[in-house]
Amino acid sequence: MTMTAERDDALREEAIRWHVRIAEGSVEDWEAFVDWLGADPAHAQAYDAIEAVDAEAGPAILEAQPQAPQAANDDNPSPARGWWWGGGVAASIALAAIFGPGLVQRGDPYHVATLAGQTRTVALPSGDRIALNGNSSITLDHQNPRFAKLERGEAIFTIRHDPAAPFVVQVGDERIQDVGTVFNVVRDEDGVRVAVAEGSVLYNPQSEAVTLAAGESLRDPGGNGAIIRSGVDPTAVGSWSEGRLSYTATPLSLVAADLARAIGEKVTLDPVLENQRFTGTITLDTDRARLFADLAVLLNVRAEHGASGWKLVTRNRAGR
Amino acid sequence: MHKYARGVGWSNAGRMSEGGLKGLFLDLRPALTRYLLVRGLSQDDADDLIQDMYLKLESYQGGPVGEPRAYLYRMTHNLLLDRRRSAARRIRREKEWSAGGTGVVSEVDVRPSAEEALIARERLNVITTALKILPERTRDIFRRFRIDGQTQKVIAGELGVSKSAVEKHLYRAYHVVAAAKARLDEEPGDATIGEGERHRDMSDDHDR
Repeated sequence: MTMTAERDDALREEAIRWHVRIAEGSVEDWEAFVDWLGADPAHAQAYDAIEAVDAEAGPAILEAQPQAPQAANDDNPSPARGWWWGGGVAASIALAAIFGPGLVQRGDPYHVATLAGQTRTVALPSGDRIALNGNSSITLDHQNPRFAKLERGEAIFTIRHDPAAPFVVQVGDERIQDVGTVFNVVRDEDGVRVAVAEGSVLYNPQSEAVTLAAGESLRDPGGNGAIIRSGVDPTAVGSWSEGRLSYTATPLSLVAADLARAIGEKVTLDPVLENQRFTGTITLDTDRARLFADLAVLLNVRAEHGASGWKLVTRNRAGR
Repeated sequence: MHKYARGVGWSNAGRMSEGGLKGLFLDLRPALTRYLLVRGLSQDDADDLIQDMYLKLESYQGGPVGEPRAYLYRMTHNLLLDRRRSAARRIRREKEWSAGGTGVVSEVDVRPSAEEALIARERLNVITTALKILPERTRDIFRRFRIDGQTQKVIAGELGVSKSAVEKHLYRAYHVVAAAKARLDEEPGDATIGEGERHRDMSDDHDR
C-alpha cells in the first residue's frame, strides 16, 4: 500500500466519524468540525465523498435490510405513523412551537387544488417543494409539515430527507415514504403511479414495502391487482412541471390522461390506439393546434378538435 | 421528544424569545459563513445561501428551539446539501434537454438516460450486496439510523448497548458502502463485490 492510499483511507475513516458525530451534533461538535475542515482542503474533499456515500447508502439499506425494526410493545412500528397518528400531544406541541402561532392552525389541515390546465408550486417552510399538476388536489397540515395526502391528480415532491422525520405521502389507502428524494405521484381512475427521479421511496412500508430507486416506477391498479414495477427515465420524472411530458414505452391511454390534465381539455383516444406504446417527449406548447399537429405526426394519427376537446384517431379509419 | 433531537431539539427550558433565533443567526453569521467557505463555496455563493437562510428564518417567525446554535449549523448544512443536489439535477436535465431541441423529440434522445438508469440499478445492487456481508445487527443499526431516523442514543437504549458501540456499527457500515463505492468509481462497469483490498479492520467491539 502506498503512503497516499494509506492517507486517503485514514481521511475517509475520519470523515465517516465526523459524519456520524454531526448528525446529532452540539454546537461544540459543529465548531470542531469546522476547524477540522479548515485545517486541510483534503478534509473537505473527504467529507464531500462521505456525503455522496451517504446518499447512495439509503436505497441500498432498504434493499439489504427491508424489515423495519420492531420496537417492543409497539403496535405501530413505522416511525412516520408513530408520531403522526399515535405521536400524541408532545409531538403536536413541539411542531406548534417551531412554526410559531402565526402559521399554525392546530389540527386544521388545508387544501391546495388546481384547475385543469393550471399548475401550482407549494413551498413548505421546511424547504420541501410540492408542484401540483392540473386538476389535482392535495391536503397538507400546518401541524405536520412532513405529511401530504394526494386526493387526486398528479404532484412532484422534492423532499429533503430528514431522518428524524421521514416525509410520507398518502394516496388513497397507499403510503409512500421518502428516503431523501424527488418523486412523482399520479392518482387517477387507473390507480396510483409513482416514479422516482432521485434517491428512493418506500411504497406501502407496512404491507408490500416496495422499494423504488431512481429510475424506477410502479403502477398500482388498486383492489387485488398486482403492483407492476418498471423502469423510467429518471431525468424525465415530473417533467410536466417544466412544461414537458416524457415517456418510455407508455400506453397512449396514460399519455392522453396526462395531456388532458396538463392542458385542461378532454383528450379522447380511438380505442384501437389505447394500448399503443409511446416513447418520447412532448413539449406542452401553449399553441394547442401546433402541439397536437406535432403529436399527430409522431404517432401517425389524426388529431381532431371539437366541442368535446381533442380526439386522436387512426389515419386508417378516418381516411385522409 | 427525542425523535426531534437531531440538531433540532425543542424544549421549554431555554426557549428563545420571539425573534431570538434571528438575532442569534446574525451573531453566528460569520461562523456559518466560515462553515460554507471551508466546505468549498465561493464567498458570493456563501453570502447568497446565508441570505436565503435569513429569509427562511423570517418566515419561521422566530419559533423557540432548543440548542439553537446547533440548529442553525444544521440548517446551514441542509441548505448546502439541497443546493448541491439541485445543481447536480439541473446539470443532468440541461444535458438531456440540449440534445432534444424543441417540439416533439424522438425516442433516440432518451436512450442514454435509460442506460443511465440501468447503470444506477447495477450500482445499487453492488452496494446492497456489500451491505449484506455485514452482520445483521450492524445492518439493523444502520437502517435505524439512516432510514428510520432514530438517534444514536435511542438505538443504544433499545438494543441495550452503549452509544459508542452504536457509533462503531455505523462507522463500519459507512466504511463498507464507501469501499464499494470507491471500487465502482475506480472501475466503472467492472466492479467486483467483496472486501476491499484496503480494508481496515473495525470489526472489534461490535457488541460492547
